[in-house]
Amino acid sequence: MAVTRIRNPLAFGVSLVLLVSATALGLVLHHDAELGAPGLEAVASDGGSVRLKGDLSPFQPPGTADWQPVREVLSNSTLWLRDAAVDDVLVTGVGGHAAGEDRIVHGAVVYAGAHPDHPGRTLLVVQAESVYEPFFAW
Amino acid sequence: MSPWWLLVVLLALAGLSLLAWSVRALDAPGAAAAFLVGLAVALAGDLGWLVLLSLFSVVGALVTWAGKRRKQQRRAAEARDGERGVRNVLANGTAALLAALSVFFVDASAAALAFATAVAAVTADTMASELGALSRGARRIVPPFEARPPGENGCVSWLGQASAAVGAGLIAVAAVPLLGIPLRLAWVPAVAGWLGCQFDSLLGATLERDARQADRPLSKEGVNFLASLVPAAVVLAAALYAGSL
Repeated sequence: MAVTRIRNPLAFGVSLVLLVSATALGLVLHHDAELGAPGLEAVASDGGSVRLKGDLSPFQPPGTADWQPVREVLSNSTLWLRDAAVDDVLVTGVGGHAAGEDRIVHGAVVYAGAHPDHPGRTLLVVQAESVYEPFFAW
Repeated sequence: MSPWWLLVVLLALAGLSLLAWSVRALDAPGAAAAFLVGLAVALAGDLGWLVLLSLFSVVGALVTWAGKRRKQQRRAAEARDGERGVRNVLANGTAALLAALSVFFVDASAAALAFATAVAAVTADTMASELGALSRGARRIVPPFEARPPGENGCVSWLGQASAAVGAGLIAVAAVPLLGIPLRLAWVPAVAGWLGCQFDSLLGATLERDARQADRPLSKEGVNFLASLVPAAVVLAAALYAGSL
């Protein structure tokens, strides 16, 4: 006698709902940089892509010689990303309208080196591919 | 750890476990065990680690159902119409779980390689067993390599070997984006996983007990566990040694 493959149609339906819910929530969290971001140090060393969240404010690099290597990778529009999780991140190649609170920056790390003003700390420069607001305030 | 991340994990695991139970891939205790193993893997590793382990579960279920009628005719089908239980879940999942837990003690990249190897080994073995049972013939893996019916312990076939390679390769490729394993190292879980399948066949031919060899020391589950644990442990040791150079 053939065995019915689906033991319980209700459980089967509920399982699909759970999986769809998990997928949808995961996609939203990923969009809002709340999930799935690789370790910043690992990505920075490989020059990979990052997705960071924080407040963006205008930044003008100092004209000192120590900042010369950093200025070489900065474009005319550069912002400073303030975030509780990471320090010293500059975002370059963004429009001036991108400044504001609670922004998500997606882009490639183009500079990862010692901070010119603070030895022992790392300064990252991210070439922005996109800047957007999260769906939710998590 | 974000509570939202944990919610995603719990929803996904509940959905997968319930799905496996509802389609008779796992019985109730097996589904519960799969939930707990998956939760431990997700907490120790990451969501990508859980997805990789789930990929093995999906592939395993599909190849178990493939050609079921022909396997039943050859008496090579998995017992209970392919529905697996706690012993099977633990036999296939424990090595991967141990590899995931090793992330708390060793370098995370080494643990990731070991985890991918463990999953590749059980995937290769499951595909080799289930699809190899559909081949026309098989031979013992140990001398004198006599011809035997496909599906017997310790026997291999060209179809089974190819299936094992595909399974190990599939997991290795998936591990690159899911675990962050460098592409240049993807060959490690692929090769080690395939070798783990060979080790499974070797143990099956020599130490696994069955109806004809009831006094042998290892059960089917014990063989499965060792065949995934040993390659994962070797890869972990090699990765740690390479990292120390």
